[in-house]
Amino acid sequence: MKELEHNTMTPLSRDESHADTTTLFGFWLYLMTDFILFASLFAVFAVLRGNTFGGPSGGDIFSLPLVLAGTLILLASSFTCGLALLSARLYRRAETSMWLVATAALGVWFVVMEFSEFTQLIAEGFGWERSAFLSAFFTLVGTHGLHVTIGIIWILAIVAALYFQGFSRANLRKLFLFTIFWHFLDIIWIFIFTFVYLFGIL
Amino acid sequence: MSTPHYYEEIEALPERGEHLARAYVLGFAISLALTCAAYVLVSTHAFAGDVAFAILGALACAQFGVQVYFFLHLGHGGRSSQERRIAFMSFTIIVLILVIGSLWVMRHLDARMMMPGHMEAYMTTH
Repeated sequence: MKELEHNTMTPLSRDESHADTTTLFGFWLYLMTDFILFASLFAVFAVLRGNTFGGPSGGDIFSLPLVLAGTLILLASSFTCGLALLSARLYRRAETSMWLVATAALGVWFVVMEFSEFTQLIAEGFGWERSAFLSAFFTLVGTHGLHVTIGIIWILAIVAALYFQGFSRANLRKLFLFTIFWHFLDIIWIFIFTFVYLFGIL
Repeated sequence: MSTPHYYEEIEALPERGEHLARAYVLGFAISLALTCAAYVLVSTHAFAGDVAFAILGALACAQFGVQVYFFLHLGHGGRSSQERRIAFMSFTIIVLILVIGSLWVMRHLDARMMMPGHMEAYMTTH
């Protein structure tokens, strides 16, 4: 019954609605600059992918099943975060939190897999200092992993805010911006999956 | 403005909810299919060389389009999504110039680069 009290929302003034649209657009512009950041790292990787300096090339160190698993995990987390937004539209707090926690769990799984891949490569002597190709690889994939890690912290903050404050206007805004951020990371990963891993293995 | 209006996407209208749910399920299903197609292509070595690279690139671009359309809510109308669409398209042009331009310039530079032996010959004669 506690959830019902959040169902009665007051109509918003034109100013408030305008502020939300502006925030969304500002966040969108931030994502576009992130898009450029990743594009630069992709360009660096594409230029340097052949410069292995006698070290391993992509085909030697990438494992196809592991990469597919990572991709599917991230895709599933993108879907669960969409479901969280759908539950939030109906003001179902427990359900929203559940989907958000599921998204965070999948995100943690993904980061742990990536981290273990990195530590294994470094242990074998194939760290970022080995060749230009590996430097570009660690920078590109590591930057994506860092974004996912920050996203996980953000989810947990939203879950906590929902628990303590319910569906306030600010919390709904954060949730919506978060889903866009998370889907954006999934899109970036599609390109890493294809142009780094699959192209490397081919 | 009688209904709560957060963003047009999370507006509490049932039919928009159905639309959103359909978009997520459809986007997820198509992305899954495209990912598996790319995986099968690489694991079975169905194609080789440039054909395989071209197909993989096309699959990635298709997946990019699908996820932008279904997940980033750029597909449906509304003023706020139009502003985002315009920003997205202009930044996509910058990204294409950045990536294609870098590859183009660096490839040319690579082709024009002197081999170490040639460099010494050049240094002694000039």
